[in-house]
Amino acid sequence: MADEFPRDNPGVTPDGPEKSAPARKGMLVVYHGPGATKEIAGLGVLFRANGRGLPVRHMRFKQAPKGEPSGDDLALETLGIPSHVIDAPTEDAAVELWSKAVRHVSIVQEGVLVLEGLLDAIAEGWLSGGQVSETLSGKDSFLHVIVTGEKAPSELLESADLISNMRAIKQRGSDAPVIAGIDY
Amino acid sequence: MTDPQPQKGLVIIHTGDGKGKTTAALGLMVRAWGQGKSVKMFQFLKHTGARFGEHRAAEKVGISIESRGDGFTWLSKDMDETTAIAVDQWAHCKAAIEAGETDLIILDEATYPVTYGWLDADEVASTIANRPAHVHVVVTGRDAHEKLVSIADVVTEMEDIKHPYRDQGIKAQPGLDF
Repeated sequence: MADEFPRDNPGVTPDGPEKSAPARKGMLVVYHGPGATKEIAGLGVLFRANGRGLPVRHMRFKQAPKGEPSGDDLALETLGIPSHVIDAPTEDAAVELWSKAVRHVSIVQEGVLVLEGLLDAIAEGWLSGGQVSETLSGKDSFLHVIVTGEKAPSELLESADLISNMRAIKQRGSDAPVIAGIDY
Repeated sequence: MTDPQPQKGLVIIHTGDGKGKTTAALGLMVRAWGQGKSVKMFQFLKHTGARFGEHRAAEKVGISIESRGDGFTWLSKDMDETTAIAVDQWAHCKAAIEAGETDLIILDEATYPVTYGWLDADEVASTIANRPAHVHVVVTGRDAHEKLVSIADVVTEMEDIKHPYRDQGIKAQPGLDF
């Protein structure tokens, strides 16, 4: 029993709502919103899946969080999680990285792929929301794909299995010092 | 009043009905660990000895995650026992916070024992508020108590826009959800 995940919604009965749902499914997850929290949620999923021995991969479509060296990158390297990042966000770099993601989705059948900041590359107009949605929701595998960024295009909102909006209720002032291990 | 510490530890809360609260706390833990900070996670409610992905990963790299619980409350048959476990877990949290040896301490699902009254909200809030100045504390769980919110520097609400269990009946997935 120790391995069973506790339901996080007391309002849902153990039998509901649908009994026909698949026991295992490759999920399309969208974490969006203005806060920085969405990026670390992707990192958390990578850590978890890595612990399960599943194949995991990280791709970052934007600049690393402010500050050097990046705690995220140091941790990914130490954990042995493959990571592809673009140094300067441009259309060419985004398109090239996206082609790596498409390839990953077509080959790898399970585990986790985190596409950090992909939504921002779509918002820039560098990638098509419709194409991204089609690729990520059209896969027929157990691969979970986590997509993050500030705002999601309607096509992805439609096709995603899970969407959380990270809303800042309380935040530090914009002049607050940047903290290693918290902000980067 | 002068602040003797150049850098103040933060109190961060991840709350709301959406998914991603614990996951984001794990991410923060990994980021801080990547920077060479000492980190520790205490999980309430989740079964003592749980072997989720995070426990397995943490074990491999020497990060401590201590789970003390008997699952979520509506499955509990003995509320006194459930309360006692939470009180015991809080004693461990409190000791770690006050010791000041850990840079980042995560109190996962800690909002529930406070909301249910198993732990005294004032005591939890004042222990966190009076922590050693360099210590960061992260609290996760739905419906964060106003006393916790009031001492927090950062509060993020994970808003549930689409939930796979509710909307499609899909169960929690290993590696993704636990």
